[in-house]
Amino acid sequence: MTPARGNKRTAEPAPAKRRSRLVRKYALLISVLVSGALIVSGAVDSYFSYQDTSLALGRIQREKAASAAAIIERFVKEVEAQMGWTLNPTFLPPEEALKKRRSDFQQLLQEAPEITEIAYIDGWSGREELLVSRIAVDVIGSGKDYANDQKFLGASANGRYFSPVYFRNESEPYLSLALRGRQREKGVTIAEVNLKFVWDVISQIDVGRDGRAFVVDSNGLLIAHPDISLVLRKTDLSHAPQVTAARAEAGQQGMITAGLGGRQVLSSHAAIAPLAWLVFVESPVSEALAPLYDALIRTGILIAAGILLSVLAGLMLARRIVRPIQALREGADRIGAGALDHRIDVRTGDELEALADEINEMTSKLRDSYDNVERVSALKRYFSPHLAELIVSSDEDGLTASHRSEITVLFCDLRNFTEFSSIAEPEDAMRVLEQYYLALGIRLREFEATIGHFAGDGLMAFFNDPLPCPDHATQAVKMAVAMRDDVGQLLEGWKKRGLNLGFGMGIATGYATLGHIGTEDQFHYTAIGSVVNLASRLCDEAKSGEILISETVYAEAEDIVRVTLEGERPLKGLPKPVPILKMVGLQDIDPREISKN
Amino acid sequence: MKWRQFLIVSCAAILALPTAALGEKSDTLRRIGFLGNSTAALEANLIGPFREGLRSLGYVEGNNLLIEWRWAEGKYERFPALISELIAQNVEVIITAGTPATLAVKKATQTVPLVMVAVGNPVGNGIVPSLARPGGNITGLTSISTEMDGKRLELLKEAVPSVSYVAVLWNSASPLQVLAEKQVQIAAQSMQIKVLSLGVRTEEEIEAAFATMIRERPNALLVLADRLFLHHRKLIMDFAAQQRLPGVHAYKELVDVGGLMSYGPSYEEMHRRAAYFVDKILKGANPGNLPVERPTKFDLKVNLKAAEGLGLTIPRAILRRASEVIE
Repeated sequence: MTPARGNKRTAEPAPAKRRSRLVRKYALLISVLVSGALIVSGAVDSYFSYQDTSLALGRIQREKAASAAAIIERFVKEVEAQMGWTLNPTFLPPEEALKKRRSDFQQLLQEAPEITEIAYIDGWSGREELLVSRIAVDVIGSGKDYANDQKFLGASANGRYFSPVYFRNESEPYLSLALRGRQREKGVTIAEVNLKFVWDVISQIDVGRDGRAFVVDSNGLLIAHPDISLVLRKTDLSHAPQVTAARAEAGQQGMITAGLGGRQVLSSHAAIAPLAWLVFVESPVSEALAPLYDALIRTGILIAAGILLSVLAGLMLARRIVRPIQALREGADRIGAGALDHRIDVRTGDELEALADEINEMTSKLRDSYDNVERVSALKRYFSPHLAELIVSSDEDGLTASHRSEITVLFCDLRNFTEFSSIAEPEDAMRVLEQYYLALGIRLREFEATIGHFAGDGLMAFFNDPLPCPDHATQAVKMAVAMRDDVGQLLEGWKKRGLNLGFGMGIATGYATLGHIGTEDQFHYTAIGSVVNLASRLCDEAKSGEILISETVYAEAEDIVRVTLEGERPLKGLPKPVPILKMVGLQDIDPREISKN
Repeated sequence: MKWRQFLIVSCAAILALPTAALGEKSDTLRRIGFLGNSTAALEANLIGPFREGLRSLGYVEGNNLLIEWRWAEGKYERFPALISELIAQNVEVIITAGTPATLAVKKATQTVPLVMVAVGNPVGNGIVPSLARPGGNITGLTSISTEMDGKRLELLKEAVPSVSYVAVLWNSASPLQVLAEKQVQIAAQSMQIKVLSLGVRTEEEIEAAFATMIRERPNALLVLADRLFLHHRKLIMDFAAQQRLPGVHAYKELVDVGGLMSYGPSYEEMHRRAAYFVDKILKGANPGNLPVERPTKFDLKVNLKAAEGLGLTIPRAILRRASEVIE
């Protein structure tokens, strides 16, 4: 596995940018969802509360108009009731009756300030008998003819008559109220009622701070308004939209229209039936709908606060979602950079934690296989690749722990190489060794021999450990013959170039101790014991081209090997002389056809 | 439709917020001028309600309102000079009472708004063309005194049926009084009452009229509505008491200093109402668009102490109609 060190460096600036993009995306999504819900619910709520409020306002205003109409009707009714006291029949002689009536009328003027003038019309003649005024000199017996006057006729026929509103002195609105006397009394009393007094009434009707009530008569003439100057100026409202609408009976209660001051107003009306007057109640839209505005502002503030909260919550949530993702990313990055020991720490208790666990598990497996790969490449130095992989895949501890085993050990080296290397160019010496080990290596792999160690031109190899090999001596002998032939050819080639080198080998079979020797990083799997020493000494004893073997080897491989005894020789490090057996060749086998089996 | 209204209302609400905040009333100092016929002390009961009226409309003297006071002390020839002073002070409105003072202001300026408080007959005297639409720079209140002079004579006759020869004190310097005197003559004729007409313009002429009355011996005295008589009320009423002359006068103030009866609109109320016109004009209304208002309430005041002094018994019918009685 090749660690991606370069990748890590180029990928470094990206994470922060990518993270913030993810945070922004999540935050935006959450905020938009929450704010959207808030705005939609706020708008729907506002719409319905607008409907409800305007309906309620219309209803309240209509009630106000109705109560204002009732108040104004009562004003007229009270005048009528006060006049009633003067209507009782008298049983006095005419002179006395007139005096009594004048006194009654004066009393009435005292009690009813709205009445400016009051006249008595004789029922039979239709002529004015008495006129009592608040301002002018009283008139007795003017004889003014009322016989064809609508006031006289109306009251005579119906008992009561309200004249249309008229303006006295071109300024004050007046109403003539004519009443017929009770029982036998046929005379008609006509009072001139100053409608300026309705002003007091209308000004006191509560229609809100900027709202107002006003009254128009049957001709659309303004007869009462809190701003008295409008009344005194004889304002004609017959063409005002709310008045025409009300007259047409199409007047939508609580309609929004232009008020008298030019402002938009919410207008409702009620009729004063006996007078055919209309009372209007108007409130400026801004005031009438103030509760609605308050509600709108409240909703707006709530929505704004909600949006703010949702943005904050969105950011927090997004951070919480993204933080484990970021940890995963960083972990993957570090693992990618080769830190196979790294463990990703995500404790979210959800799929992300599961993912982190899976990555951790994968990493530990990755580390195991990476370790194996490293071990294999180390073992390849002294085992054939096949063997090395076999070792790695099997229980390594069993193999590497030191143990005793029967093995066949083979030593070989070049003769005269030390002298040659001391005088030759190092490049030439290296080239020789290169060719030499190439040739040996092919045979070592072929016969699946374990390389014990090599130094300079010397090589030690053995059979039956760790790879079991039942005919280890035979194999060793076969390999030795093959090597001698291969190296023999090399020697001939070198000889042509003037290099006088030789090649000798020694083989011994016996028990040895096997295991690792060396430091933690640099170690050999090798064998130690007298059999190794013996093989080494036999190699030393061998002349160029000779293969010396021990008795134990011959005992194992006598079927295929032909030997000559060279006698017993004392060898260094061995307690007694050892018989030296020189291999002559292989039994009926052409040396060129030697192979593992 | 509903949605559109809703949208309009919503937009209006949003737009209304800042403008409503900006529309705060600014407390700048407004300057108005009051031209008095008499003196501050003698008209204290009238300017009191005027000030109260202004206060109730949110004006505080010295804070957001400054009133320049000018008093003619019963000398109408001083009016032009006093009016010039007020105009020089750049007053925004002039308030005055009575026909002579109003006419003097009308003569002096056609631009400075004028609120007249109690003018007997503004249309008859050519001060305004109509009550409903005065036009020009003048508006205010009429006391309709010319319409009521006959009524006063009627009340006098009712209260003191023995009256047959009445001295009428009027200001010959006032065009209104010329009209009023004619009205009284007509009414008196219908009641078979003889009239001793005494037109006076100054204190000296009043003294001269007293001499005439002593000589002619009328059995009643009618003082018409002119501020000259308000100014000299004590002098005149003391004379009436001394000469045992009953009367029904235009000003209740005359009854307060010993007169027998008065009938007419409340001048105090008219002064209070004048504040409304001042307020409207200060807020930018054109005085020509403010209708001149007529009084609607009339008070009958009877001084029983004076009656006792005169040896008279006031009939119950009169007392019943009285809104105020001095015991």
